[in-house]
Amino acid sequence: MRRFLAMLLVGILIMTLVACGGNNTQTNGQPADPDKKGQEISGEITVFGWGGGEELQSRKEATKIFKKLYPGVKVNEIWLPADNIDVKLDAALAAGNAGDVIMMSPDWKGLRSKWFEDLNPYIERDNLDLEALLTQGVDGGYVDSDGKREGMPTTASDFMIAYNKEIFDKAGVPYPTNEWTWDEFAEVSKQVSSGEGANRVYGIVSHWILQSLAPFVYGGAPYNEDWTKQTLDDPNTIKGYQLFGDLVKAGAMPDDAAAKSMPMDQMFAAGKAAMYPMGLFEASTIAKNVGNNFEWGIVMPPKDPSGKTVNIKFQTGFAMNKASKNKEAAWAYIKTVSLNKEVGDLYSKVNLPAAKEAAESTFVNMKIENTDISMVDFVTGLQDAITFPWGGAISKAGDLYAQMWQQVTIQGKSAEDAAKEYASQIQSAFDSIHQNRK
Amino acid sequence: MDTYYKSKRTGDLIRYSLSYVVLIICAGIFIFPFLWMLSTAFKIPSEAYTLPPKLFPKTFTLDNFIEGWKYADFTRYTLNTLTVTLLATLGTVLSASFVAYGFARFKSRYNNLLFTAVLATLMLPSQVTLVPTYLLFTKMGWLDTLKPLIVPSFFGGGAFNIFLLRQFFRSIPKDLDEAAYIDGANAFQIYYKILLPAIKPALITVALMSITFHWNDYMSPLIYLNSDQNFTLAIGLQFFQNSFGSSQIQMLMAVSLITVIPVLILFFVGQRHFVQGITMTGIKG
Repeated sequence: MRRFLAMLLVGILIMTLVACGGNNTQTNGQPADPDKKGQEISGEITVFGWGGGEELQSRKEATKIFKKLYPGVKVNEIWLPADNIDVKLDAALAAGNAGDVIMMSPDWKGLRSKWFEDLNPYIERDNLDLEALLTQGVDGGYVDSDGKREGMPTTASDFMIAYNKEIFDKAGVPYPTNEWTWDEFAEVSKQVSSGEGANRVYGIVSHWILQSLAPFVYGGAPYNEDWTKQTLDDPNTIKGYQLFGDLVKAGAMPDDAAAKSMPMDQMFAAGKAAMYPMGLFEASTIAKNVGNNFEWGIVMPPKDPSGKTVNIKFQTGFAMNKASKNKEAAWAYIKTVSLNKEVGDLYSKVNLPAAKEAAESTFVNMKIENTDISMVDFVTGLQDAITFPWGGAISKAGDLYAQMWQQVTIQGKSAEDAAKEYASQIQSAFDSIHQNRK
Repeated sequence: MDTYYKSKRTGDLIRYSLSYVVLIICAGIFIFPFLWMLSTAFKIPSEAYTLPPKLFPKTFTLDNFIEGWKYADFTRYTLNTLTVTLLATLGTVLSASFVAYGFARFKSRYNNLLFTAVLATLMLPSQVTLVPTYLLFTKMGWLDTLKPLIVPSFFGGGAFNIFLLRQFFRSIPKDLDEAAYIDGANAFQIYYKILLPAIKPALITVALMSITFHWNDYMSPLIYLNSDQNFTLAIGLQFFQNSFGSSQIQMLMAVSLITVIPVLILFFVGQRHFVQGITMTGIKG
């Protein structure tokens, strides 16, 4: 027994040593040298990013292109799943090992600003005309109100309204066009709804993005540009929230119980809802799920009273860690994955590329997988789209906006009453953001 | 007399029938997600979303398993998960039983205070300790290795396990220890030769809980690991989801099914001891 135990312990020790063998990465110090040409850049950088599926694959492929262009730079890659990545990133930034290049989104709104390098001097030094190089609308939100550029875009995604042609045909309602308004949207949603109970077919699913669209649909906004003041009590903002409250009351949008009965993409794919606000990021999944179940198409989200299409965009880009010891290589990486045409072509398979050349040649000629639906509208839709409003430093206030949305769409309160209840709390949340930043 | 037995038998029959009906309904509710996973794993994408949901796929496919497994290095992830789970479980069982033995059998002025301090750690949310432990492991050079996932298990094995095993130790008469002392055994020999065999059901319970926890743990590997070669299954499965939560559900279900099988087998093998362990420690609620 003793011999057995001794052998077991030795075995465990060996297994532990083998199992725990890993590699820690370090960056080489390399002074920035503006006169160096791209090909002469060398050293080591660590790239920290996240995602999954084809989207992540495209980021890994983009890094391969960078390595081909800059053979002197060794790139250590940290690619992780997106779920709970904020916790990891905060810990890594605090420990100083988050990498030289870090994925970032403009909807973080100042959350990690202190960690990021201002990229303006690099852009000026390289004489980059971003307006000519970047797809229109892809760049919003990367520059702070004080002019600091926190990152460069790589991809973006906006929304289209996917609609089930069979349900429209059955209801005798014409398909929507890119010129429709939110009043028409509400009317159409009611017209194409039918059935009762478990057989109910809804006009529009209860998609999470509707809450973000609501304040803007009649030209309102949830807060002002520098997020110092909530504008929930603006009549146009209230009217936007009320539109969705009314849709639930009319049975054109699922109530809370119905919304919880199945995932919303499943509801659309199963023919239980006529319309679905579909992000570009989920287009191929939706297409696969719908399969041959029914014919469908896409249309731009409706216009606000001023004639501007109301859309929300999600953007992804890269920032440079202020603590990077190889800023030249880090900048070269950021520039490549943002502006290089070959990289843009790669990204086109999964998202809208930041590189204008790729967006206007490769992306616009693509179709949603297994369909003949063109991607062109996603490019047009991005131009006026609003950066996702509830991220980063705004998230605490965003939770209160979400509660207000629930009061209207779940509790059936009027938007005006809900706004009265939440306006002061939301204002306090904004005040505390700015106090903390001082 | 006959009438009495007849009515008693009828009463029993009704009672048992009702119990079984309730149990079958509950079992059906609990097993449904598993059946849905099983069925989705064999479906083509468009079939996964048909309504009403169909348990048996119209077009049966194994592609989800083949493509899903090739999607990332799941063989390596499985090996890493096995390594972490087995070693961490060994550490948990050994160290938790050792600490629990101390609390159950040795008296000191600070015994209760120390035990309260151990239990108090249960109330500490793991998020609170995350950043400090991350910094600690970074300083130790353990980042991106499996060490942070294994080694801490050898230092106490967790407050809940210590509590569970202490309760079990306390249920064993001290006469056994005293008899062993008289026979010349020392404290370690009593722990190892007398008490450990006596608490086998509790050790198996702790081992099963530890295996399930480490097999499914997502947060710790996410925090401490960076390289694909070190990832575990819980991390690997998340790669089926893009950053907006949109996922390739069929492949996710197929690979999840494969990864859940070892835990299921283990649970069925050890469930007798597990139930015994839970019942005897009085933690069944």
